Amino acid sequence: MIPEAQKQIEKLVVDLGYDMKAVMRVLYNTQAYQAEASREEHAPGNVYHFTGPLLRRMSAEQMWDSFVTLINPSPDMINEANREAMEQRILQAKKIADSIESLTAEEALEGLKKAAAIYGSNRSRTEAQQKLYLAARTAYKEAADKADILPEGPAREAAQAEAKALEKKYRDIRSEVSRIQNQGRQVTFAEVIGVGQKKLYEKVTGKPFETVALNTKNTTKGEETAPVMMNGGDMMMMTSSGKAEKVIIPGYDRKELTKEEKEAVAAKIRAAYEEEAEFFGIPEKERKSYISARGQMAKLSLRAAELESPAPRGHYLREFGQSDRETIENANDEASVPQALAMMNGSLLPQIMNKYSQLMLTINKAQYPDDKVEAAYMTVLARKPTTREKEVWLAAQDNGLNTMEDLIFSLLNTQQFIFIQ
Amino acid sequence: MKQELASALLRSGEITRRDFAAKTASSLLGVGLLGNSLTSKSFAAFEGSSKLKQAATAKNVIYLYMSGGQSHMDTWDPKVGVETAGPTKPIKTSADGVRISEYLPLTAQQMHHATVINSLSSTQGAHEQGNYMMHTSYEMRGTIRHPAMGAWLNVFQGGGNSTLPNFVFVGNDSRHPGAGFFPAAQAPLFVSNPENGLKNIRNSAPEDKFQARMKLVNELDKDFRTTFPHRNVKAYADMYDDAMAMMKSEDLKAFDLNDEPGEIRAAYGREAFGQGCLLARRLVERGVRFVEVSLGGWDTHNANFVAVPERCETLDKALSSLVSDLHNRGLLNDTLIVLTSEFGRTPTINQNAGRDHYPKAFSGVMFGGGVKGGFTYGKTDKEGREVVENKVRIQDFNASIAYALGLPLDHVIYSPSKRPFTIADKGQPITDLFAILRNGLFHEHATLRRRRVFCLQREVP
Repeated sequence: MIPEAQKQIEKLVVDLGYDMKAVMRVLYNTQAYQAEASREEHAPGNVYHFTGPLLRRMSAEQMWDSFVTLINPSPDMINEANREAMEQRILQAKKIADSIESLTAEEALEGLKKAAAIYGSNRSRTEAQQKLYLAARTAYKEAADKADILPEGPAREAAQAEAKALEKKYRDIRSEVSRIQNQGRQVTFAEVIGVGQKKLYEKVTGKPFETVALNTKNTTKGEETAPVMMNGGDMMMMTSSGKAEKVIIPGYDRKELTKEEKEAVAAKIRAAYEEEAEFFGIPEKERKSYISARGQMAKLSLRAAELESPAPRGHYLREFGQSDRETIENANDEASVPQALAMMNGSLLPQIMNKYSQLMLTINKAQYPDDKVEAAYMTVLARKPTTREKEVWLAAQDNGLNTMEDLIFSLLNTQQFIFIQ
Repeated sequence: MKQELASALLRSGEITRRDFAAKTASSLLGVGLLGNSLTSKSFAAFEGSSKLKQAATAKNVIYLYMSGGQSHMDTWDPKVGVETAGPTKPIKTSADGVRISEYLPLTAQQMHHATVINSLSSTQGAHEQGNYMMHTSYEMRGTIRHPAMGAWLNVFQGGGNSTLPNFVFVGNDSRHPGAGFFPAAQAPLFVSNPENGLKNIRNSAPEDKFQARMKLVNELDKDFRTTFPHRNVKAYADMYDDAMAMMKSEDLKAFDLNDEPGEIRAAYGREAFGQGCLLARRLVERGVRFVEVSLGGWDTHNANFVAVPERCETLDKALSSLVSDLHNRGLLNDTLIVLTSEFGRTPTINQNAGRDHYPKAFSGVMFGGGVKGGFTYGKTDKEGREVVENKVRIQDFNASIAYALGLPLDHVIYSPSKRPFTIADKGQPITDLFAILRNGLFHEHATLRRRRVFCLQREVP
């Protein structure tokens, strides 16, 4: 960092009232930021005389977003469903944490004692079942082995049937063990977390909590006092009396939209897609399939910032070096074979070549072949093709590459696509 | 221990000012080999690392990782007549004096090929940390990722095969240190489902069209590559070449498990782990040198004596078939099978009839690859609580694997953050595990060895 520059930026930040967006706007407009990448390779340890930014590969997130913008015509359209799901998950975790927090130590201990009592009494039950299980399993194996060596015929069939019966027996014992084990967890949930949730409800609403059984069929529909079913699917609780109940807490569980509200949201989205279709000149009879394709895209093509980070292993983002968040600054921009394979053969290409992708819509909107090539270049590389590149593409057409897909495939697999110049 | 290291590090600082300047300059300038500018004194921090070396007894490793913490009490170290044994009973095996749990009857027939280590002891009692320690020999920390053994093998000995990656991981375990601080190219190739083979390995276009497209790519990119003859740009060109070579590779047939006769596939077990072991054999046959296959579900806090027999059934089929199959093909001599887990489980059975995490004493097993057959190393007490004979630290266990592969345990490698590391973090190989000394001699004198220091540079952006 150059001291003078640092001072200047410090002053800038203060002058702009710590508005980081405004600071970024200034930085993005500097010549230094906008300059073409330096052509020389900088050896580590040497002083770098700033002849332009260093040539960098796009980060994994930048690459992913590039793909998303090639696929999705409006990647920045607000994705309510996705946001809602994310917020719900956080709220549900918060609900459990706050519920436990709202208990006093004595209250928590009381619940835990009840749970411990169940666990304690279940221990001998589990052990007894485990012994039965082992015996039943051995019996089954012996029977199965015996059946195996018998020659084909009724004797073998009988032996197999017997083995099958024994198999069922040992599997039943297995389920019984799981059931016993589950009981302890259910009681813990009901007697500790459940009690906390009720207390939290009272704290939040200032009203006493009333038990509402949800699993009884005679709850009248539309009854005003009964809470509305909520989003987010938090756990149903089994109380020790075996009654399922769900504590719905305002601020943690949100109201599900009414039918009318849902329709209004859907209509708004549809209208936006209609407008797009209009812009790209989609014929009337294709509108329906366009809108459904766009709905899919909105669900699948989310910007990196809207996805969980780190993405699961094997995801494009991880293949291209997204940080696993195990150590700081752990992202990398190194080349690897799986990356090359993903670029050439991966599942994003067909999505980019889909006729309703941003790229293909733009290309198809262009009228003449030259315009189409230009549109492809502008969309993928953000520049027009050079004369030489046009010649190369013409020559390639003589060699049997005659569709825009051929050109797009090639452009996406060039290195200039993944490096920032 | 800490103090020892600290004083060693302090002593390692006792170099002349001239040396210091040279060292700093060379490391800042990214000069790869530091060797000449350093006196041996500056290696003092690594005085504890093993200088033992031998001709490799194993070419390949198949590493079977029992994720979640395998109960040693109910597998490789069963007890009799004590409460901690639970309902599990030991059975006789094909090796005199070696007894394993009744849940592994098929493997019991292969124990004449095995060395059982009953005295493993780790310091890490949580899954993530334990898994990390087992794979890297180092404690997990926030500032660096250490490489797994397959990556060390890649760096020191390179590929056994030109078209398939040398280091493959089969399984769904999301935690794997991979290449650690080494470049991404040393990372294992992840295969999550052995039945599906490699991801993105086929192009949907006809071959001639694909080739024509790739030719067009080169033509269109020519100007860019001349303008920017940078290392990373070149690296991408190379990776494309490697990827295309791989797509055409004959060795890809390793992934066609359908080539195997039905009986063999069934013998390994139809579960992902069984098929993963079969895939491991097929990869090793084609020169892949380090294959890890992971089997989860060992975290038996509840109903241990229902869960462990079930896991063992999957393991038993796969492991016994793998050992006998490799043996029949004459590959077991060259291939070391290692089986282990992040830790064992408590001898005391908890109130959920389960067992909890127990790093203090547990087991690992090795087959083939030059280890003794029908051999048991180390011992726990009557109840399986404490190691009472020949304690093996994780570092020693990993050093033994490296030793079998002929890897240099005392060669220092610098991470891109300029910190020194060795394979297995100064672990001492347990030479007692190995049957033959091929060259008959261990070169124990430091003076006989040429000391090389590798410095890996990751380009600073």
